[in-house]
Amino acid sequence: MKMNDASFDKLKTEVARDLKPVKPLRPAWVRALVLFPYAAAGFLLLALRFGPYWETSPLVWAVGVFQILVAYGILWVGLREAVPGQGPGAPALGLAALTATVAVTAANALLISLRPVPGPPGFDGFSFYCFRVALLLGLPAVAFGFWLAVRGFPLHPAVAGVLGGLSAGVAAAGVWSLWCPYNRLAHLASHIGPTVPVALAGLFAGSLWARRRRARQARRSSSEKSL
Amino acid sequence: MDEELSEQMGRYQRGELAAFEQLYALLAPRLRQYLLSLTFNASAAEDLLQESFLQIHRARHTYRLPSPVAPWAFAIARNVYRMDRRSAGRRRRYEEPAPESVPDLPVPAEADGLANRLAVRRALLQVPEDGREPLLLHHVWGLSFGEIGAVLGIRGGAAKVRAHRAMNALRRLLGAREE
Repeated sequence: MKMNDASFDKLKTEVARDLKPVKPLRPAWVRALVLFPYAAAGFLLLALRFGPYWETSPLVWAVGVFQILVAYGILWVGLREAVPGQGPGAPALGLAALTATVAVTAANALLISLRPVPGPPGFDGFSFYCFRVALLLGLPAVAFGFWLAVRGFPLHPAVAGVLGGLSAGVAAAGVWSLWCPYNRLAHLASHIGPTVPVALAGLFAGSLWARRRRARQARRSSSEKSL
Repeated sequence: MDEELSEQMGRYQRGELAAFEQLYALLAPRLRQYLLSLTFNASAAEDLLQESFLQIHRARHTYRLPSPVAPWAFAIARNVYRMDRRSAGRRRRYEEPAPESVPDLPVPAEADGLANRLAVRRALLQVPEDGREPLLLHHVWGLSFGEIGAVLGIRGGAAKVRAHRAMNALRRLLGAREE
């Protein structure tokens, strides 16, 4: 061993201090399954708040469930990012984001063409009410997704955060569309729009996390030097 | 080697200190050389090696049997290097080394016969960084291109192209024919 004995002993002492058995992390696809009970909980919450007036059209349900499946896929990629050496890499991440955007857009475009539902005044265009509800559904999901990611060891926490946020936003829009059937393009923006601030929240949390980790490493390194 | 590493990782996850020592003995020489090839500075590489093992300790639960340990460990070490480089005020240590002080970089077996080791090391310093890293990961430490892609966050095919270009650049610098 080239590392001097004192350094190695210090490292060993530090490792020994915290050497409890650990359970290997489950695969990302298993951990991402948590999104489904979360979506179900969101559904229940809305049922409690607004009553049993959810949409019964199979087409609306199909698009809603499809959006939740897309959200699951994004979360899966994000949780893969949280395991060293498993991150899909920048091109694959870009492709995943593009695929998700195209899939959600295409599903909603199909829904609009097959079953256009113009809303009453106030719900025909952009609605801040719908925006707020979708945002409130998405924010706890991004916090939860980020917690799942940092339970791993994300090498790019900001990327994991953005993916968690995108997933939360898409899932929230999917659940809320079961209550709000109005689907004029401007109105749909108030369902999907919260994805942007939710993804930004994930980005912010991830960047903060990365900065804290860098600062800790720098502190350790400078205290090493001062010894 | 891979099976041995995986076995020790499993024991380490179960909380055996002796397994950590074994793992260190198996991984540290490779990671030290890797970090040296990134920093060109033996003392900085030594610091980052210690930090890498601390991070490996914190991340040990993210390793899953029977996947190979090396790409996982290299990815962590690379991240430690990246974080260190981004930390304010510490960039100076990564300046290119003076021509008279060539760091003790590992030499790919394919380039060993082309010139003496010192000349190969000097030539390696001139190979662009984005190619040198996959070149060394593949030709020195034996990672597959898929694994290199996972370490670097690029596609395996891109890692292969970069390594190939870097090997050609190295050959050119050493006055040998390109492949």
